[in-house]
Amino acid sequence: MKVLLIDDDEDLMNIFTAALGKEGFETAYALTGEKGLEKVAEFKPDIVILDQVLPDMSGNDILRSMKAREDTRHVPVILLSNFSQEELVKGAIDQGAIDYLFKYQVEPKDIIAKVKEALKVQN
Amino acid sequence: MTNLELAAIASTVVFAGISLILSIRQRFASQELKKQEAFEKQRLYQISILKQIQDKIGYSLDVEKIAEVITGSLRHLFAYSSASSMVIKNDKIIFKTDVEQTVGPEYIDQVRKNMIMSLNALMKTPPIHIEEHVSGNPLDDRNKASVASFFNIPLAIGNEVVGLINVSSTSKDLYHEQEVTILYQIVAQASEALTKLQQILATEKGKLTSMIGSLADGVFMVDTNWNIMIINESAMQFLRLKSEKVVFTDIISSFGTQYNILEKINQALRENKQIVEEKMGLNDKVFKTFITPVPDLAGGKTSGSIGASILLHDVTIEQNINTIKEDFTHMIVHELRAPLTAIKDSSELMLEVFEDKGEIEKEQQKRLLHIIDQQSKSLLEQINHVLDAAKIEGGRFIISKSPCDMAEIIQNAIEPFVPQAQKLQILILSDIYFPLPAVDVDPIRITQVLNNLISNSLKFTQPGGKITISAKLDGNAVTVAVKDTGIGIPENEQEELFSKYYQIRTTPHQLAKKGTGLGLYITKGIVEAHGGTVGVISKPGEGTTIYFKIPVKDGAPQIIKGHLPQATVSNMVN
Repeated sequence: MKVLLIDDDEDLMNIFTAALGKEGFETAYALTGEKGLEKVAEFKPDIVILDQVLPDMSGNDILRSMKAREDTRHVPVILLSNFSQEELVKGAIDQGAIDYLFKYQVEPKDIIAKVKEALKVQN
Repeated sequence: MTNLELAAIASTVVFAGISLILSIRQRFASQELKKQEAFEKQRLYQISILKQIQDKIGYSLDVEKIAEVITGSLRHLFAYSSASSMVIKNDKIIFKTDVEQTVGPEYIDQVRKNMIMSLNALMKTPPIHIEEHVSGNPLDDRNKASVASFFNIPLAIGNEVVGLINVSSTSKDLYHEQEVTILYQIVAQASEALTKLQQILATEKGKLTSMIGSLADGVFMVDTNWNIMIINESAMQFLRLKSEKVVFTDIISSFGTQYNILEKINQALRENKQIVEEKMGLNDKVFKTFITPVPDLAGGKTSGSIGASILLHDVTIEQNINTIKEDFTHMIVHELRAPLTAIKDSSELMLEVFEDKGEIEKEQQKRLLHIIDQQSKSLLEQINHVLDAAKIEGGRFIISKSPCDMAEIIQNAIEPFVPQAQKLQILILSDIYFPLPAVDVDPIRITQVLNNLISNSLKFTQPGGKITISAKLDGNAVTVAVKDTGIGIPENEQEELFSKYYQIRTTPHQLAKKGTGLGLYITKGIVEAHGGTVGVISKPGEGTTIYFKIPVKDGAPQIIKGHLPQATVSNMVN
C-alpha cells in the first residue's frame, strides 16, 4: 500500500514516513503543492495525507485538482490542519476529503491508525 | 322740685354721663382690640400661607409650579377678580390666570397687557411668544368689566427676573400698601428659596463639572432632546471633536458606522437600564463603554429619565496585553511544543527499531537522529532566549566588556550564515568604514545581537535579495546596521518592534518562520546594557535597516587594519 504525504515541514515528513515505513507501507513525500501533484501522478498513491497550507498553493487546490482527474478522483485524502482552521476543514470535507487530523496534536500512531482505517473502509 | 330731687336728677345725669363716657370708651377700646385681633389673624394667616407655600414649593426649581402655588393661595388674604402669573420658560412666556369673579375676555386682555408692560420694564428682551391658560370661573363674553385696580410683583432668582405675579380687580382703589406688602413678602420668600437652591445647584454643578473634567475617562451626557448637557476633555479627545459647541450629530458622526450610539442610548432609556459594552472599537482604540440612563430624581420613581450619561473607559492597553499573552501562549505552542514533539516522535521510532519492533532504513534512521539533534539545539536556543528576556526584564542581565574590534565581530558573525544564505540565494555583504576605534563590548553578546538581526533578515528576504552589515564611526559612537531588501515593516508596527513578543503579523504559512518573538527585545536589552541605542528604518516592499549605536570611550585606541572596505562573503548561487 502506497502513502503519499504532502506537507512543507520536512521533519514531520521524515518522522511520518519512517513510522509508516515501519508498518510496512510504501511512502513518498513532497514539500510543495506542485511537487505533490507530480507525485500524485507518478507515485500513484493509495492514500494521500495532505497539509492544508502549502507554500505555493492551498491543500484545497490540490484536492480540487485530484477530484477533477479521472485517475485520482477515487484516491482518499486525509487533511492535516492547523489550529483554528475549522472553516478550511469544513470546505475541504465538502470537497471530498475523507478525514482530518490536527497537525500540532498528531502523533505517528494517529497517522497509522487513520491510514489503516481509511484503506480498510476503501477496500 | 326739692333739692333732693335735683340732686337725684343731677346724679343720674352725671352717672349716665359717666356711664355713657365709660361705655363710649369701652366701645372704642373693644373696636381697637378687634382691629388688633383681625390684624393678628391676618398676620397668622399670612404666616400659615407662607408655610404652605414653602411646603408646596419644597426643593422645587420649577418656577411655573411655584407661581401657581402662590396665585392659588391668595384667596383668603385679600379680594381680587383674578390672580395671574407669567413665567419665562424655554424662550416663551407661560401666562396663567385664575379667575375668581366673573369677567370677560377684554378684562383678561387688560391683565395680559399690564403684565407685559411690567415685564418689558423689568427685562431687556422678554420672549414674544405667549402660551395662555385661563382657569377658575368661565369667561363671560358679554361682561365688559375692566381692570380697575391691580399690582405686579416680580419673581426673581438672584438678580434675574424669571416671572411675574399679578393681582387684579374690577373694583376701584382696592389695593394699598398692606396688600402689596403681603404679596411682596410671599414672593420675596419664594424668590429667596429659589435663589439659594440655585446657588447650591450651581456650586454642585461646578464641583461635578470640574470632577468630570478631570477624569481620564471620557464622559458626556445628553438629555432626552439630544442636547449635550456636559462633555469632558477626554471624551472630546477620544471622539476627535474640536469645536467649542458640540452638538449630538457631531458625536454620532464621530462614532461613525462602527457603533450606533443613538440606538444604544435609546435602548438604555427605553429599558431604563445600563448598557455595558466590553469592547467598543473607536479611532484605533478600544473602550469599555457604559451607557447609563439618568433618572429624574425630582419627579419621583415613575417619571423616567432626563437623559443618559455615556462613559468611555480606554482599555486599549489591557487589550494589547491580552493579545500579547495570547501571542505568548501561541509561541509556546509552536516554538517549544513543535520541536519537543518532533524529538519525542523521532526517539520513539528509533527505540522501536532497537527493540526490534520494526524496520527503518539506515538513511531514514540517520534523518531521525538528525531531527533529534537539530530540534534539541533549536529548543535550547529558544529557552535561552526566554531566559535572556527574563534577565533583561528583571535587570539581571550581566555583560562582561573588553576592548574589541567590531569589524572582526561582524566578520565572524556572518560566516555561519553563508551556507544558509547561499541555499536561499541571498547575498550577504559586510561594509566596514575604516578606521574604527576599539569598542568596549561583550563580544559574545554583540555576536548574539548580530545573529538575531541577520537571521531575521534571512527570514524576511526573498531569493535574489541582499543583506548588508555595515559599521562606521558616527560622532562618538560606532553605528552597526543590518540592512536587507526584504518585505519591510509597516510604519505603525515599527514603534512596537522592540517590545516583548512583537512579531510581524504573517500569513499562516510564514508561521514556520516565527521565533519566540523575543529576538529584537533581547537585542535592545543587550545594546542598552552597553549604554547604546537601537533603531529601525523601514519601508514595506523595499526593505528594513535595523541599527545599533555603541558609545566609544574617549581615547579608545584606533584599530587600523590593513584590509580595505571589502568582504563579499557569500556568492550568488544560480
